[in-house]
Amino acid sequence: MPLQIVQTKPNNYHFKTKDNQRVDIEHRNRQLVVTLHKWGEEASLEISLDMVLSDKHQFLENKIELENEAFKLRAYPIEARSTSDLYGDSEDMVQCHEGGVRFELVLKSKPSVNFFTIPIKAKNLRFSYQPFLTDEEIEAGHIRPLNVEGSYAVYHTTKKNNQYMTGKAFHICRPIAEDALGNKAWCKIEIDKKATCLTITIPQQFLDEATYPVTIDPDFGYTSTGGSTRAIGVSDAVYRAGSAWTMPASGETNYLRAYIGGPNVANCKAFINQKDSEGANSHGQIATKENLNCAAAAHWEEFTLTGASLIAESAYLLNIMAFYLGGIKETYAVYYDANGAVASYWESQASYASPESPWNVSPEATTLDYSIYVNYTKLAVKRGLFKGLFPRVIGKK
Amino acid sequence: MSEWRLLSLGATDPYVSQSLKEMFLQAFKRELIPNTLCFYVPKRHVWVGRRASVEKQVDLEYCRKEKIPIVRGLLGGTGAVIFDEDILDWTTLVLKEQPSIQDLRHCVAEGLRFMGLEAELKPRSNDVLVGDKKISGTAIGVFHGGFFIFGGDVIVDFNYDLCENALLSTKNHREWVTTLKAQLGREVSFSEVISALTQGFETTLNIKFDEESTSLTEAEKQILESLQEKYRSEEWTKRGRWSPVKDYWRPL
Repeated sequence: MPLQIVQTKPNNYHFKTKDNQRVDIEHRNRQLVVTLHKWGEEASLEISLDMVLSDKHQFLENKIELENEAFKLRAYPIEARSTSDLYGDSEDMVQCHEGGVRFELVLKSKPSVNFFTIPIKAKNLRFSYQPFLTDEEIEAGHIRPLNVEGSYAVYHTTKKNNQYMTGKAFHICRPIAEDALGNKAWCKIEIDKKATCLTITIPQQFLDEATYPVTIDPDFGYTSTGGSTRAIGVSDAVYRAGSAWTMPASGETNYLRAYIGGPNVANCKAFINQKDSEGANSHGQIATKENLNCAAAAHWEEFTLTGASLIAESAYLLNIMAFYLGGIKETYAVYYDANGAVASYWESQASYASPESPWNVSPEATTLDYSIYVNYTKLAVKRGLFKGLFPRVIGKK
Repeated sequence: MSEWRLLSLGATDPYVSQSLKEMFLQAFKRELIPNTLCFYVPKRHVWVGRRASVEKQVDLEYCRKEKIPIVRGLLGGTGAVIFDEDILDWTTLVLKEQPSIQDLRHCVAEGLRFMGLEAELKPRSNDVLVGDKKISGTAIGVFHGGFFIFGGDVIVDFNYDLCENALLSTKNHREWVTTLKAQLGREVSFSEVISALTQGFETTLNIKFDEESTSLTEAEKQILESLQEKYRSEEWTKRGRWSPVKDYWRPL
């Protein structure tokens, strides 16, 4: 069912994403202000654009629009889409799994500058830049769609696992500028270190040669999965990959989930290792589970890992490997985002039959946030413990 | 029993032959065509897989000198193959899981059995073998929206000399690649192979093909034309990356 905008007050609108997160769209102080909420009120991202001011707005065809002499600014819901459908990428990767919002700017004529700045207000969010892949990374089996290169993955600053899944809230894709004749060019986006503004730069040459109007389409997509992939299994090799995370509370595991896929099916093993528990860069295994014939299409694969104990303030490596059952020189992959939070690990010559335990591996030079998370039940604080002991102590006296 | 379209295009330009898969995908997504099995015979060129490094797989100097086009395909891994109007190629486009990947590969082996060959699927490989030698290669792409593209080739004859000159592979192709001509000990026509493979698909998938057509629809031709810029571009051939969106920011 398409995401539908609902009007609640004359200047207030909202819609719900597929995962039931609220997006507010407001005509406030002559500006269009969009607020993306995630995990209820836990995290949010507010965006606005003060260069497009107007006393009036329009609500037409599920879009909110402001217009002045030079610009039009629209906010409206977007659905999950593939990179092939969006801009003809051969990678055909799905994005904005839970929907999202497009904050679309229309330039009626050639602007005096080739950039515009969107003030942002972020609550509990971390912005991770996704660089362009190098030839070496492409050769090593990394895949990053063209609108993920130069984009930002947006994660919770401190939380993941359980209801936070990978901790990823949104992905801000690299926008496309399109002129009236259908000519298109990639724009550049940049978020400042303090995360107070997002600057979109349009190639000056494109603006010089364009037939106006020109439309720029920054998308803010809701997703929990990484925007890039890395091989974890090919027909003649097995790779092991995972990220570290410090547990905020003690608990017992229920399951681990990883976002994986490839051209054909694969057998996969998932692991939880305790970071440095056997010495520096030697990570003791506390749980493992194998799933056979994991599907080819990209999906969340769930590995049942019941009852393993996780200790508060200890760090764990959630990791995975694949025994690919498809053809020669194809790859089965795990999804990830670059510039991650803690540390990530990679083993290029892993054994599927006899995985190393403890896992002896050093952190990667570049930290990746692999799309792997654990669901666990927090251990209840046993309030009755002292009550039960105390009378006996007293009784002895 | 569902009815599929059967196409046989004969000898095709290298760039056209490698862009057919993407054309069928686009046409199928727009509901312009039914399930289709299309045969064609690519003219001389070097095909490189979707993830292949051209520099590591192909003798670029030799190809430049001999004017052999290098074309990157939509599917496949990191390998390369030489075509010289002696290999029958096909593309099938179907809805995902109808049938399964394994069923699709069995179609090929079954078709070759109709020609009297003991064809088998090689485990953990895309190859179909006859007597431990490769006689057919296959590739599968899974696409958003529930589509499979299943492509492949049957080696009717093989230009081993050209292969050794144009590719940098250290494999001894004379030892691990065989041909229908060698296995059957006679000349083999493409129409004979098409007939056998068609039977293999019909038997394995319990489908029926309509009458063989030799030309694409106008809509298909238009899509194919629009894809030529991509498949002929240096960016696609060298790096496997291309989109109609111009990129002014990519580091050189």
